[in-house]
Amino acid sequence: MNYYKIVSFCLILLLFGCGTNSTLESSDEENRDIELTKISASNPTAQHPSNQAKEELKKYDEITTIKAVNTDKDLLIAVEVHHHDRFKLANIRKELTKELEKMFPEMKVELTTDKKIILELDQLENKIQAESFTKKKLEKEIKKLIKLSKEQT
Amino acid sequence: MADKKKKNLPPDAQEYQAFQKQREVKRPIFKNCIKAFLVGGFICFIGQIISTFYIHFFNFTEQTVGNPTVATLIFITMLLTGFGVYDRIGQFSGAGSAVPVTGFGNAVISSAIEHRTEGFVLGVGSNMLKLAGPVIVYGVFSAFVIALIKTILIKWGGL
Repeated sequence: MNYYKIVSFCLILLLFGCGTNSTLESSDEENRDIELTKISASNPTAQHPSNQAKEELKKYDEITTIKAVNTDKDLLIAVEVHHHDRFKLANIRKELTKELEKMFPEMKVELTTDKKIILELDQLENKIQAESFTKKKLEKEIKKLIKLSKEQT
Repeated sequence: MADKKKKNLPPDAQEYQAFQKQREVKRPIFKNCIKAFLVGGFICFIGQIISTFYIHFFNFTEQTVGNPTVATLIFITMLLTGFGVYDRIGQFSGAGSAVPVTGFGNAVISSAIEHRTEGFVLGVGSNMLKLAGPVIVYGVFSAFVIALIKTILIKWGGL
């Protein structure tokens, strides 16, 4: 009957939405306009791992913005993806986290795609660059952000 | 099902049905759909503006911004319903203004206003959720069914 036709049509539409392929594509083109803030590594709050992670993530086509800050133990990364890639957001998050964890086995890696964390990390990066943050203050700040990114309600 | 019912009617009633079907003004379904799409989309657009505002100026993440956004939208709906503007919007756009959370707010608030004269307990209290109650009941029930399907798919289908 007509009714069944409509229902099955809706089901087909729904199932097509589920069938996105989840593999991330990486390309070697370097001429994409991702803005990376390289933070100097000379001050006490060394940002070596962050810079390294940014270089690594730059390869992926899906990513448009990368912000990262780290302490000795924690590495907090926020990425923004192209809008039509947001359908596979959960997959992207999982795969990138896995890769970064492999890259930095001795650190606790937190990867998020949250807009708020991107904004906060941007401010934090600028602050680190402008003034010499004490180690303790940075640790406190990152702890706060990680807690914020894990909030559910 | 409607066809079956029609066949059981006496012949003159069937004749009348055919006659009135000819005379009936056709509903402009396509036009209504477009209107609902545009107005509903506009309401969601406002919601997105509000949630972006909360993310930028308050301590909310994308995960947590939903609650204050919904609260703000319902507050705006309350004002619009009270001033009689939302009725006009509803008349114009139909489902476009009823399906988003503002329609739910409107259903609660308008019935609260309507039954105000019957007193606070038996009037407002008992009639407030008369239309919104089913929404909650079937929302919870369908969420349960979907969760059941998802669990089965994950456990047995290895999705």
